Amino acid sequence: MCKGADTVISERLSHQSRESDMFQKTEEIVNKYAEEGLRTLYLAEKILDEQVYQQWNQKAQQAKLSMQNREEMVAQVDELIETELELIGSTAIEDRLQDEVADTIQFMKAAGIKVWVLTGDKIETAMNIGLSAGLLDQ
Amino acid sequence: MPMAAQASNLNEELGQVEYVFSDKTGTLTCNIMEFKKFSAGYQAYGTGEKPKKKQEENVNFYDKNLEYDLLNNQRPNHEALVRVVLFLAACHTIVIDEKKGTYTSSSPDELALVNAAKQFGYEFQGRDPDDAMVILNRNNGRTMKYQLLNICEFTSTRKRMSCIFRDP
Repeated sequence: MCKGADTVISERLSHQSRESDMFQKTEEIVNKYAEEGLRTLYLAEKILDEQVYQQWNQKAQQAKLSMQNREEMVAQVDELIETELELIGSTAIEDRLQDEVADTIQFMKAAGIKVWVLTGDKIETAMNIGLSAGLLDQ
Repeated sequence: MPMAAQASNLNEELGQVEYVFSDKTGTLTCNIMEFKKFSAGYQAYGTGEKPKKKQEENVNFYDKNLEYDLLNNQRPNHEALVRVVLFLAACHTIVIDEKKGTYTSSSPDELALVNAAKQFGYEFQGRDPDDAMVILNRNNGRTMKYQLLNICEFTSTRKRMSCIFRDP
């Protein structure tokens, strides 16, 4: 079972899952969630062959024991097993803005302070947060 | 409390400010995650309306179709839905605080997901000594165990996490 950002999971789906109606439908749903400013995740699964797992697990154990660049090594090995996934669903979580964020940003803008947004969020989520925070005006 | 200005040089410095940097999650936002909506198969759940029942922590969910689809195995989306709810209950790195009996996690998002599964009747009850995820299905009273073989952990570069289980 694998959960993560939509772009990251999409790249790791099987051809069949990626081309399915279900994928399109989920994409539609998640774009809608993002427009509402929600934090979204894709959920995907696959069935592993015992042998495939055992072989991978050996590599994974080695990577975990490596003395240098461990995080990178582990990530590389993890990459090998997180492939050919099948999309099964998505989730949407809300993280509300604190009170008076919008007013504060308006004040700063009125004072001529330049405001920038750097984000790893989905573009739709960022746009929506930008609007509700008064960072963007349409 | 009224403020008293000790010196006025701060105003001048403030006037020089051109750029303000702030992070978002937990700074501009409350960092209180609430599970609101999800999709399973072709079906989206969660109407966004105010829930009528008492909610689990970090959950703010309402959809009357959920119960129908979850409890009635004749419904077309039943299987896809059960699959997703089980996923939410099993695939995470949450541990249970023994003393308080509450979920703890470094990720507030995961808390929201696992609490949502709990609200839907699939309650994560912790890991047993053999490292199996114990999940109680409150809808039929049965306990399920999923042997956890491996976790590919979340990092901000990977933007994903995986759990590998033995097929029961």
